[in-house]
Order: sequence, then C-alpha cells, then structure tokens
Amino acid sequence: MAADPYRYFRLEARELLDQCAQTVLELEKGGPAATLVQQLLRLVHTLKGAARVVRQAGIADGAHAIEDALAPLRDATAGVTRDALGPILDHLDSIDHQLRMLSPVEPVASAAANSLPDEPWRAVRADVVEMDMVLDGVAETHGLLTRLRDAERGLEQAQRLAEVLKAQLAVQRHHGGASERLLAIADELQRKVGTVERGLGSTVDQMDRELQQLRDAAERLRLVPAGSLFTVLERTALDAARTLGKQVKFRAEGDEMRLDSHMLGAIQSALIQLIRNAVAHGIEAADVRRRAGKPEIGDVGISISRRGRRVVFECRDDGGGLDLESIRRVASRRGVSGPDVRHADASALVQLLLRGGITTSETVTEVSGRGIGLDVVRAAIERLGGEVVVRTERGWGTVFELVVPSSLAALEVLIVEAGGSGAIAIPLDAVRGTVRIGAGDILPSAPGTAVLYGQQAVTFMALSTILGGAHQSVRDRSSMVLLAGADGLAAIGVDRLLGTANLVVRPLPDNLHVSAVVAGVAFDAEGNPQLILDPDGIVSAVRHSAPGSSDIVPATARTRILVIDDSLTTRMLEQSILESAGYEVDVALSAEEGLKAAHRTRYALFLVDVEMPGMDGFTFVEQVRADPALHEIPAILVTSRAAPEDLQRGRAVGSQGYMIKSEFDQSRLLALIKPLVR
Amino acid sequence: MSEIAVTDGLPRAAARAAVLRAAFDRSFAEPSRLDMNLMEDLLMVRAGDDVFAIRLSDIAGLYADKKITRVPGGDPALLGIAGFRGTIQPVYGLTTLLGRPAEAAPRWLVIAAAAPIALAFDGFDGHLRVASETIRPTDASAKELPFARDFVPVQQFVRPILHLPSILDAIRTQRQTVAPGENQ
Repeated sequence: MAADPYRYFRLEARELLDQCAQTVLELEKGGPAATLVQQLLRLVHTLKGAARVVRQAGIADGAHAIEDALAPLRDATAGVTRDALGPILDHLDSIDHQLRMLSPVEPVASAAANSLPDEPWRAVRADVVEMDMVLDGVAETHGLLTRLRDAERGLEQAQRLAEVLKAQLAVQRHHGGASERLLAIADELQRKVGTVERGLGSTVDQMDRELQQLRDAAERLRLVPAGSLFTVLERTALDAARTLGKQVKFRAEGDEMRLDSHMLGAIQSALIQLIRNAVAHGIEAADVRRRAGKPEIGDVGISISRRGRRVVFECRDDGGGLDLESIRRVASRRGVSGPDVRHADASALVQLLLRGGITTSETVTEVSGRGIGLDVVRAAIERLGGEVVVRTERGWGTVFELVVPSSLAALEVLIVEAGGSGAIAIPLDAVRGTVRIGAGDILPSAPGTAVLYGQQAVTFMALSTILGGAHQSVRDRSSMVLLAGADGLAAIGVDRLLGTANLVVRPLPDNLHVSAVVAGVAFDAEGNPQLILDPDGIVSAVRHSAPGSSDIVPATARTRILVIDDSLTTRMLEQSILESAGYEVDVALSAEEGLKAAHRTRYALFLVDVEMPGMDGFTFVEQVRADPALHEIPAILVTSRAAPEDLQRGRAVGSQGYMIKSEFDQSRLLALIKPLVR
Repeated sequence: MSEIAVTDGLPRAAARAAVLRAAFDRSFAEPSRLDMNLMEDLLMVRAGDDVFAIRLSDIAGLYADKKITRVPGGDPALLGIAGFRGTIQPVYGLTTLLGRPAEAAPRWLVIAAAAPIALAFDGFDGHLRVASETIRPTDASAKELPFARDFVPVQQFVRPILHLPSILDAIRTQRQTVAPGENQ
C-alpha cells in the first residue's frame, strides 16, 4: 500500500481552515480589523505554502485569491463590510471542499494490507500530557525499585545471620548442647533465604533494565528527528525555484538532532517561509549570478544546532543579500515608521521587515511578493519565545537565525563526577578531549590556571569550583575535559569520567536564576534531576575568572626561559607556572650550570635564585651583564632576602626584577616576566 | 413449626435489616458531626531549633528523603532542584528564608499549592487538627518572624503558623533581584 502523501497536509490545512473561519467570524462581528486581516493573511499564506509543497494547486490558488481579496483591507481602520468578506468565505468553502476530496481511501482488505495491519498506526503520535504521565509513572516505579533493593540487602544480611547461627549451633552440637534437628533447621533457613535473595536480586535487575528501556522508548516518542523537516524544506526550495525559473541546491545539516515535536511543528511554517524567501528574493537569476562570478546554481540551506539552552535554526542563502535601500524606500513610501526610516540601520530595517507589510519584490507571484512572509516568521518566533538574528551582505547572501529556547531535546553527553556533586552531563559535541592529570600538571593552589594540551596553553579550572562548591585542589588521577565554546577552549577538572549517554534535556524551571553554566536538566533513572552543562557558559566562566589567564602566551609565540635554582620545590613550582602560561622552560641546578646552558641556548629571560651553593644569583647576573653574548638577556632574581640593601644590590648588578619568596605569587611573577620577554 | 416461625420472623427481620441498612447508608451521606468549616489542619514542621505550623490547605504534597540536585546560582536560600512526578521544581531552604543559620541537609519537603516551589525543612512533627477559634493573629509588633501572621497554642507552647503566600512572594522578590536574565 502506498503511503498517504497528504496525511500531514490534511491535518495542517484543516487546522488552518478552522482558524481562518474563526478569524472571518470575528471580522464579521466587528473585531479589530487591522489585526484580524493581518492574522488572516498569515494563515492563508501558510496554507498556500503547504498546498504548494504537496502540489495541491487548486487549494494554493484559492489561498492566493484570498490574499488578493485581503490586500486592500490590510490597512482598514474601520470595520470590514460583509460584502468584502463574501468572496473570502466562498474561497474558504471551495478550499474546504477540495480538502475533503483529499480524504484517504479506505484500505481494501487484501493480502498486502493484511501483511501490515498496523501500518496506519505507525505514525500516530501520542498526546504530550499522556506521554508525560507515562514518563512520570515509569520514573516513580523506578524509584520504588530502590526500596526493593533495600529489601534485597536485608535478605542478604538475614542469610549471613543464618550462616552465623548455623556455625554457632555446629559448635554447640560439638559440645553436645544443640540437636541435629536445630542445625538442620538453621541450614534450611540459610538456603531458603539465599534462594529468595538471589531470586529477588535477579528480578530487580531485570525490572531495572526493562524500565530503563521503557523510559528511553517513551522519551523518544516525545522527540522527533530534526531531519524530518528537511524533506518539506527541500521540496519548498525546489518548487519555488522551478516556479521562478531559478536553479538552487539545497543543503541541510543537523538531521541527527532529536527535538520536541511541538517546537518543530511551530517552527516549520517559519522555515518554509524563509526558504521560499531565500529562493525568491535572495538567489539571483542564473545570468546575474554568472556576471557576479558566482556559480549559476544558488545555494540555499538550513542547519539546526544547539547553543546552550537554545536551539538555533539557521537558514542561509548565497544570493544578493537584503536590499536595505529598497526596504528603506518602500518603508518610507508606506509611512511604516515615519521619517526615521531613512536613517534606520540594517538591524532596525530587518525588524521592519519582520513586522510585515513590506516587500521589495517588484511583482506579486505565487511564491512571494506581499510582504506577509516574514510576519509568519515573527509570529512563530513570538509563540516559541525566541528571537530572530539576521546577517546580510550585499552580493554575498543572507543568514536568518531563529533562536528559540529549547524545550525537550535528545543529546549525546559525557557524564562526569566532580566534587561530590553527583553525575553531571557535558554535551559530547563540545568535548575536544579528555586527559588524565595529576597535581603536578597544574598549579595546585590557584583557583584557576592553565594546563598544556599538546602545544597549546588552555585555561583550567576545577568543575566543582565553577559550580560554586568549595575550591578543590586537583588530586592525582583526576581527569581533565577539554571543552570548546563560543569563546574558545577551556579545560575543566573532574574527579571521574563515568561514560557517555543519550539524555533528554529538559528546561530549567521558569524564572529560576541559575548560572549560565547550566544548559538544562535530565531525569536520571530514579526521576531525580541531573545537571547538563552549557559548554559556552563553562568556557566563558573559566576564561573570565581564572587569574593570570591574560598572561597566557599564545602557542605560536613560545618563549624559552631558564630557571636556575638549587631547590627542587622552587624549581618545579616556577617551571609549572611558566609552562602553564605557555613558556618553554629549561632548568639549571646551579649558577655555573646556568651559565653553561645560557651559552648553548638562546633564552629570553633568566629566573635566578640568589642563595645557591657556589656562585650566587647576584654574581650570576653580574657575569651575564659582563658577557657580550648574554648581556641583553633580562634576569629576575628570586630570593627570601627582603632587606632594602638586597634589593639595592639586585638593581646594582643589573637584574630587571626582584621577587621575594614569602610574597611569591604566580600572577605577579607572570606580570613581571611578560613585558621583559616581548 | 419452624417454617411458620421463619415465615413470621422474615418480614420483621427484613424490615429491621432495611432500617439498619438505611441508617448505615445515611451515615455516609450526612455531614460529619464535627463542623469541618470550623477546623484547621496544620502540619507541624521543624526548621532549625524552632517548630512552626503550616496550613495543610497551603501545600500540595509532603515528601521525605527526596534527592536535591544543587544548582549554581546567586540565591542563598535556593538549595537546588528536585524531581516530582516528572516535573522539576526549585527547592528553597525554609530555615534560610526565616533568616536562621542553614541546616546541612534538610530531610523533609513540602510543595506549595499556589506555585511549583518546594520548601525544605529539617523535621516533621506530625499533623494537628485544631478548632479555628484557637488560632490567634500574631501581634503586629512581632517583627522577628516576618512570615507568621497567626499562631496556635499546642500544649504549653505557642507555635507560629507560617503564611506560605508571603514566603512565596519573598522568593519571587529575591529571584527578581538575583542576576536577572541569567536563565533567559
């Protein structure tokens, strides 16, 4: 049996027709004419687009005719007369009749039909509220399993007690104090309890697995692959191109994302409109493109991605870009927003376009031309509580971004544990790598610093610190997760990596002011919320709160420094700080060794301890200043001697900086070094 | 003989049974002898060292040992979020809201009836049904308990009754002052 091609169109068209009829009724009753006409225009415009997609020319023509009839009424301030509404109602009736003719043919009982008895039901989607009730029930039942696990533990203890009892009785029987019969009873008790405990344990495990699968299946029912939109959008692009005699190629990205079916339903009409506009207004005719040095076939595309707590639908074309001058002209002519329109910038003009009523199209066609389209986009975005961002460049194309708050979405995540806060999820597509680290790999005392990842210095902070917990120093055998966000890269320290999972992300409760590092929550198996992090928020938090992060040297400009110190601790500390900040570091254990190294390798700076066996730091600097090959290399002295005369001597021998160990601070050290090594 | 006795006795027994049945059924239909309009149901809760009452009509549910997931944010009274039958609700510490030092991990939670917000407290001392007339308004000068408008005498003690709508208002006000737009 062939699939019913009008299955979804019938539902959408019926809903639109009902809304049209309702709006006309309100117009008849003398409702606010301008608003209602605008609303009616939006509805029939959407209906026309949908009809075109499923090639129902009759219905599309009817909708087009209603638009014609409504156009003169758009600015009606007084009421709309019944006479004016007559033709509109006739067209609505005609569309209604055509829609009825599209009713599915009753399936004929046949061998083929019998082989797929459930086919018509495969596409049925459940009511959201009922679906949520199923999920709630599963979560509650899963919670109850925890109690059964407690019972299982109780039985395990009872079995151990029976074992102890049996051993005690065996000892007593040996001394003639207990009967064989009592021992047999204890033995039987231990066996029985053991059998029940094993039976209960395996049943609970099985129920756990079954409930997990049930929950996953139920949650999947709420979500629809984003790619399900792409077929309709591609057909829209190709149909519009054919109608207008243009050539376009349609590209789509993000089909693997699973999103709330309600969100996709609401956004679909807006995306259809944007794609249609891209072809009609954006993509130029083949000869124009050729003259502009572009491929004759225009590029129109859609991509869907997640950005923290939002989902971004990006519709782009490589056409001529928005003609802002035309918009300005038309808006001025129509007096849409007064004399200021002449000076309005691109963003203000785009907002005018979104308000509807302006079109730059010279002619009204089947595809576009009345300026109603972007009003449809605005209405959809307002319903979803999102925003529209437009980027356009004359000659190069336009990008419309519809950014809407995410309701539900499936997401691949990396689950980690940090600072005893339980399992936390990180969107996997932002994870660039994970590395096992120890305390020596980063500076242990700072709340945030840098670690080297390959050849790159990356700002680092423990996740528990970011989440507002007590600062935790990095322990040995911790893990570092490297994250990519809008601001670049950042590394976060976690206690353990627990694995990956596919979670259904839910929004946080309304009006709850939670730090921007949290993108949403998911329910764990027992119905408890589990945090899902926003990589952009995390990267921003790490990069903006880590002290000394501005001192990090870009990987491309690495500078070599020689650390000379006889103390292992100081040497390692200084090396760690400098390497974390992106410098290359060599170490020498004495001033003599340092001088030899300085003649072998060209250093940008010497960081020298003052008190060392053999040659001290002052002498080292004196010798460097006297050496024609080395005298220009700056030196910083590090010492525990804080007397004014010591500082004076440091300056006298020619050091550029003096750092007192008791006041040692990594930020100060890096700030001291930075200007000297430029 | 026995047949006659049974025959004679049946109508009387049946009538008696009918009367009893009717009285039994009526007892369900009749309003309780206790006039519920004149009674108040209260939950006695412990926050810190003090015991307070909460009107049963102000809450939608009472939970124990619910896992609270901590969330980073600026509101000191916000303990985190918890899942309640598939919905996620913020959980606020009652002790902190009352201006007292916060307890480590409050065990009990109530969900407010007027808003999807949970309040956590340390102990649940039970349910109390009292005559409305025993409830007295708090002295207006009693500033130390901003959310208590009434009190109820319980044995030799006087227990403040927390006015949940005022607490919810305070939470909303606090939310507006904490980094607006963070969760947008």
